[in-house]
Amino acid sequence: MVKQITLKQLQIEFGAALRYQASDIEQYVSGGGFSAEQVIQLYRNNFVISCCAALQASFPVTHKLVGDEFFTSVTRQWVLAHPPQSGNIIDYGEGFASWLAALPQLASLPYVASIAQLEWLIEQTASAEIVSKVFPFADLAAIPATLYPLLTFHLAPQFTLCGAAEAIYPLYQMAQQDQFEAINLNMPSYVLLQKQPDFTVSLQPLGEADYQFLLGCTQGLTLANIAEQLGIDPSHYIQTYIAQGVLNRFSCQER
Amino acid sequence: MSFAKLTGGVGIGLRHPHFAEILETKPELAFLEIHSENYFNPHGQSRYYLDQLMLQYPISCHGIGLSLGSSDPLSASHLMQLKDLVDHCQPVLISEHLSWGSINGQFFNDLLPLPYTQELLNHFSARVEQVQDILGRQILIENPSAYLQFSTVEMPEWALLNALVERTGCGLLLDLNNIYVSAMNLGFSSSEYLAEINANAVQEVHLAGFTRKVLPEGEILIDTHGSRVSDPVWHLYQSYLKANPTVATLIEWDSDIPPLSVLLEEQQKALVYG
Repeated sequence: MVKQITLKQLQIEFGAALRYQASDIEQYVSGGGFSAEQVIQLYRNNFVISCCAALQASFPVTHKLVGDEFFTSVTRQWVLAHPPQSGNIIDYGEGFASWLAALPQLASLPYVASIAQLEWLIEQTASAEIVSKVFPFADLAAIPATLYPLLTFHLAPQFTLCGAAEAIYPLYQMAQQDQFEAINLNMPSYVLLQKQPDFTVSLQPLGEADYQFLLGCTQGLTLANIAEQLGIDPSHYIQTYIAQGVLNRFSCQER
Repeated sequence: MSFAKLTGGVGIGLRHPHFAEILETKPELAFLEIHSENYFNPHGQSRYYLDQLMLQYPISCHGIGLSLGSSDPLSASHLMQLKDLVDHCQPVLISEHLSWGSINGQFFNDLLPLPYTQELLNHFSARVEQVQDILGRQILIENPSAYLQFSTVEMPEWALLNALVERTGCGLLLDLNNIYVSAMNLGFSSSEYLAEINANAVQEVHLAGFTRKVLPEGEILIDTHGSRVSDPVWHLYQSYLKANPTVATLIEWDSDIPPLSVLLEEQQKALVYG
């Protein structure tokens, strides 16, 4: 007699089997001339291989840096531990970089996780809207000077920041060109990412103060907060990044 | 631009490596079918090309990630993005699969098999109705390929699909490659399947390729959608088309994407059968 099982419980058991977890699914499965484990392995392969392929497409430079064997091994581990959270595989990969950063095998190679984070941000930036409206200078001119410390400036959505304790900018450039040379990797690196109209993403290296200023803007800090926390006069940076189209609007906490 | 309902004709699956070439060379195609999820983002490169191609070709939206058969609630976000896409490109057809791909919020990026039971029929019917209500139009349901069947099965796949049509008013998308793969793997007759399915509900046919995997116990067919259509599937197509000449046909190729010329050769071959 066939043992009954609800649809939900069957899917829970099947999902557990796909992730090599304890499961009773085999007693409900017939694989024709093959064992239940053999046919479930086919589905398991589809799941793991397709998710690993998605990660490889999103993290090509990370893959290049660690080599095929290691990348396959770690992506497989990650897929089994952290399956996709949506039905759109394009969304998959958030959190992979921080997971790599915690791997003991990569403790001596911290730049690998930082490059993975850069690649994730490149992919997100490529999907962003490009907003090229002119900065509202007239609105800014109408703000009384006494309120300037309360202003917050905002980055246009096609810009993203990435900062790391390692030299990710030159390393990424070298990996892209497949031309590696000896560099000091233990140098902090700050990058401004910008989506281009042809859907590529350009990288612009930043100085630390510029990065901290723009980071403060993304965190919603007011000019007073930035001046106090970073010890810099933000006016120079405001002019520079409005002129470049990086800052495209402002808000005032009083409003 | 909106296009009339498809009556026959052969289209191809639109894939990223072919975007620019199709736009430039404008091959004669009855329609282009997109994987809906790849076009959800209105700011992505895929959508940029779709916006241009939809002016020249009828579009069919083929979903792969809605997980209709899952016990989890349907993702409201996924449904809203699908509705936005449908409203945007006004597809001639919208389709999804008789499958599931997620449980407890975890997704497996695959079209997983379902137990063909009365419980499933009730569940799946409610889901199809929910989607049709949200989209405000009919969807087609496609048969998946299978490597296993569940011991709890109460009816064959075609019977479940026919009942689904009766209950929900949905249409059907028959993947002839999937029928062949499942029939060979599970030991049923493709001809019987095609004789039993409600042909009046079938609005589209998929043609694709499979590979053979050799295990110690024998050979199993793997649905890769990554090669040319096999001879047995062409024979099934020929026979199906003879009885149902107005069905739309798609050449579907999902992995190891070849040059566009290969897809167009397969498309021409399908036209010869028509």
